[in-house]
Amino acid sequence: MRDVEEFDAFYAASSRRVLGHVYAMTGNRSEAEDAVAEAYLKAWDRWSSVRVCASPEAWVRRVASRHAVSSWRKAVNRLRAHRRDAPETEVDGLSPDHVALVHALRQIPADHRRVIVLHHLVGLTVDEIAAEVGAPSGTVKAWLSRGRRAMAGHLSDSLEVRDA
Amino acid sequence: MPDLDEGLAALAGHAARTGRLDPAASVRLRSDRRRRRRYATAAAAGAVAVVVLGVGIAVAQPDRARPAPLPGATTPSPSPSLSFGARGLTKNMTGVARQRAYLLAPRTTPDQPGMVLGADGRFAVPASGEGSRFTVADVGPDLRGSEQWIIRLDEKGGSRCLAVQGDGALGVARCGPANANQRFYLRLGPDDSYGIVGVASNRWLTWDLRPGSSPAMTVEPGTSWYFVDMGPSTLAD
Repeated sequence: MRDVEEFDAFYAASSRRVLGHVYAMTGNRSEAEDAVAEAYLKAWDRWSSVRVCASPEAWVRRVASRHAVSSWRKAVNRLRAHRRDAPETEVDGLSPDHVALVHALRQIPADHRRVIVLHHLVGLTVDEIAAEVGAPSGTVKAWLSRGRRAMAGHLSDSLEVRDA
Repeated sequence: MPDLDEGLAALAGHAARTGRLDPAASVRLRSDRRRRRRYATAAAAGAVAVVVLGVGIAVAQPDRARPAPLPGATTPSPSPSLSFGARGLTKNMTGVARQRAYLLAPRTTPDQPGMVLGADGRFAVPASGEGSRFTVADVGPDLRGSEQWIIRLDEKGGSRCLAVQGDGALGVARCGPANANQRFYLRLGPDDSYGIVGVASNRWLTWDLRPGSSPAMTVEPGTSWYFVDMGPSTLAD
């Protein structure tokens, strides 16, 4: 029973936050929901080991982001086709600036997107990101730099289009 | 890039507020169900693997009921000119079963008298004394072509043969070559020795090296035996 209570408390405290992080990484809410659900299913399956790890939330986020990236790659063509037909259906309720941000996120590689979210949203340092994604710190820095530069380009394009 | 921080926070907050997530209990339930299904699948796969493995072994070893030869041994050919003998004496036993008498001595202690039939109808391997004498006769191959032999006590009348008893011990019984308990395979071992294997039981005649103890039929190859030629049989007349 103690495990159940612990897991339920952990889920209540972290699941929506993790969903927001994974959504920012994927730019697709349903993909993010599926990935987060899958990650918490796995977390409960291995709760005895997950509960004692350094950060159960980081564990769930890592599993969810991997699942999302995998799903993303498998479905990338389907998503692109879907976006052509209904480009804004995933971001109802967001301001135009945020829609542009989602659009820019979708344009950059998944690795870049992931480290940008971990740094700018979750607030991790480069070394912490390196540990979470399993890449050298230098690589993480490069991904951050390229990702931000690419996003800036896409954001300015969007703004120019809107202003025109 | 402060705008990026704010923009991402707004995006994540929006998704966190509006995203659909199942209750924790539902997540646990699905996870438990998936785990049970995984275990059931693994158990089923294991059962299938065992069956497949068993069938594979049966197919690969259609004659596995026949015991393997002794280490370092070659299986004797079922040809009529089978070479058979011990300690420098090689005899062609096919068709001449009653002509020579033999002691059955463990290869580990070839200078001892070999197996002796006791008053209780069981055999033992004593440290000294006179070993019982036997004649050996080929009674033909089994369905797989392996030669079968009967081992008869070399005594007047020649009516008693080695027989595996109901309890697995080695004794004697009135000769009846049709009785599988009295038929043996002879597996050629090192130095012209032989493993003696019961046809009915597929077990090996094994002595535990303790003087005075009785040989017994065992699953694993144990003792190899010399057939020590002691000269003409009393049944040779």
